[in-house]
Amino acid sequence: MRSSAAAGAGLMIANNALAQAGGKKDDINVALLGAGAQGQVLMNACLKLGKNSGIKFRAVCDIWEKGNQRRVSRTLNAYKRYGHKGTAYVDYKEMLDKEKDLDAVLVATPDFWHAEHAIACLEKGLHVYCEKEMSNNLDDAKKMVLAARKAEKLLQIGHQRRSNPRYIYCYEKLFKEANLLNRVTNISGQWHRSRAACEDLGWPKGTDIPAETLKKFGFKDMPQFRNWRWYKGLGGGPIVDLGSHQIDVYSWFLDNALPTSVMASGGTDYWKEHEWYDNAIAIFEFATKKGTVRATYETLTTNSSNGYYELFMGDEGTLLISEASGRGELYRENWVDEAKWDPWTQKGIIDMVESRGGAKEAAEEEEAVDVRESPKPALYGMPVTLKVPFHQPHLVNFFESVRGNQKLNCPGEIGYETAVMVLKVNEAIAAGKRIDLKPEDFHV
Amino acid sequence: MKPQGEQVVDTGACTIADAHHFAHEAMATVFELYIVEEDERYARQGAQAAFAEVDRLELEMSRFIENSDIARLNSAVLGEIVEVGPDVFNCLSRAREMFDQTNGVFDISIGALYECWLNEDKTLRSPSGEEVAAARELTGLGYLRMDADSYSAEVLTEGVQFDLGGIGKGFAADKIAEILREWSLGQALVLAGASSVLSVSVPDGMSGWPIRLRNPAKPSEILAKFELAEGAISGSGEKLGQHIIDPRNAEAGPVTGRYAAWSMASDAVAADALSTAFMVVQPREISDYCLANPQSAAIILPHVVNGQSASREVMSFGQWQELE
Repeated sequence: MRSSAAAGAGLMIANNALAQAGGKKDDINVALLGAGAQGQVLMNACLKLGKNSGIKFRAVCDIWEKGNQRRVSRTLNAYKRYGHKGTAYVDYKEMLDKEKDLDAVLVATPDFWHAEHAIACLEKGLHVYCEKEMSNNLDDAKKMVLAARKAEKLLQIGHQRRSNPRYIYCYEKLFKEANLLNRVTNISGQWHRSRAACEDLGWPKGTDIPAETLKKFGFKDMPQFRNWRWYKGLGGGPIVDLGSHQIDVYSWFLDNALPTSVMASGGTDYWKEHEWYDNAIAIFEFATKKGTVRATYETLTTNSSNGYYELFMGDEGTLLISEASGRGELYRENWVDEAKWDPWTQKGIIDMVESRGGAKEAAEEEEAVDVRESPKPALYGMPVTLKVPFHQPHLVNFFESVRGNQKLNCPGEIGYETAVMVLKVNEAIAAGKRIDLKPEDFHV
Repeated sequence: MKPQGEQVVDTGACTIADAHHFAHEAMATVFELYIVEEDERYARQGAQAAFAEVDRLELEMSRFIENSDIARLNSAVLGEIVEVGPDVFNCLSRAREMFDQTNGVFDISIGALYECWLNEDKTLRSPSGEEVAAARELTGLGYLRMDADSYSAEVLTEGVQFDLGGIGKGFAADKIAEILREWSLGQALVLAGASSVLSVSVPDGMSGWPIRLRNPAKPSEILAKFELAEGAISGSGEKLGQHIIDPRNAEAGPVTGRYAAWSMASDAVAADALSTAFMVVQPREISDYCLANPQSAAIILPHVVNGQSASREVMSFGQWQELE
């Protein structure tokens, strides 16, 4: 059979490639601090890097022993032949004391714990990958940046789109190199979820965290622990949980421009037991070198229409991009000559999907212009896909930065700027007025 | 390649007044749960936890999601080790187990043969001998090497395409059952689309979940009626004129399979794989399988014309032989 012989050859090539790359990479010993849904996503993305990745989990810390902690510890122990270990802790201090050989910690605890956890790790001399939002308040977020500087350790914030090859392609190729949209004047974006997707989370009977443990770690009770994102002082609501990722991209694609003001509306319109806004709409004004850009963002918890995406509108074209698989489209405004985009299709930077607007086609077929609707703009796609698990490129960027091979795509300073943008939305809603922002508001 | 079609399993569970009903769209179908539990909110939260797990599995298992584990396996180059994680690894292992149990009839790598023999609109093609041979070269679970220590897999012939569509929904249903048990919500029935049903356990005071199997050509006609206490039932229905390939006999090309086939097995993965296989294998093979696996049962229905009674044509195997 040709298959087995060919497979053998393939293996040899793979081994050679590895040898050329320097053989076995430096191991990075990692602990997971916060093992909920998001922590598990990060862990799984790391495990799928494989046995040659050099990433070794040593421990997991989570206060929910009969829930998250047990699940993650079991998974890590199931991978023990790969050198992973799932020693479990409730108290992060105990973990940091006992686990002597750690190099880095992945922090995926509730937002209000990020600062204390990240700073304790940095002060221990460990590199930190911390989930967004950096913190639920700007004072603590600022302290995190300062702690990383003082410790001279890395602090990556989990805005994972910053390392997604599709997003990098949009920024580097479509915006910077080809400038296909020309002058961007508006951005809009949304993350809408159905009511069913926003129901309060429960927990299996018999798995409650003891009351004294909950109290010690800042939670009133189990429902609050499971649904901390909705509570003031703990999380920030959907604008922070979801909007943060996308508003971060707004700024990034505008060459990290910062808004000069934010207006917002929102409320606990539907979920009356919650404290944070279940319906939030924000308007940002960005000052860029090319001029003013106005950007809207909205997030709903009662209707999932059109899911989640970011839409960049320029005077010559439109980019719709989403982290969701396969969702990325470019439209050329009808008045822009096809020839202007041809060089970029010829270079393979973009692919043409539908060449002409509907009106022109209809006119040729029926010898009449269809006046009932606007002609469809020409549609283009881009030849880049994400071929690895979500979050994995951002984690790899962190690990490679720890090894000195790359620079962080989202260091604490960038994370702080985004934290300012989104936390100011909640402030603007509460104040019921427009908030003006100065460059120094974003500076640490 | 599980044929999607009319509702072939009718549970009647909605007549159980005490059961809370929850539904969730995923894996190109609708998952439904019937849960008997006093506290409706608790049942809803358990259902939500189970549905969240299905969504997570879909991101790993769907070949249409470009960074799923299966998509990564399907685009792997020779020699590449693909880390698939424990869940997809277990699902692939189950696929292999069902491949072995059905003597190679249930095959998650059969896509190339379908592409070879059928046009996109599912009409028959006439491929050349070389095309068939090339498709054959890309078919077979023998081309998948699996490493249980590392939850990884390797494709030994570049280009083999794996599709968990035939058992993915069953795998998700089994996972839902596992989570509902963790939540002490075991008095539940899981439906994966209209074609798979899994009893987590029977509610107190009931002897089983009432199940009816209908003639898809004449829905008023009930072919079998019984109570499901444990295990799963799956039905495969076929659209008229649809063709099925028996991978053991691919050179002969697609055949017109049966009109429908049902199977019962101890879990939903096995039931799904068996109903797919029973669409095409010989009755004797079904009979042998049911003898060797006492917890299993099957009903097959040859082609019948719309509106025509099927009762005389039906063949029953295993436990279902006792049914009226």
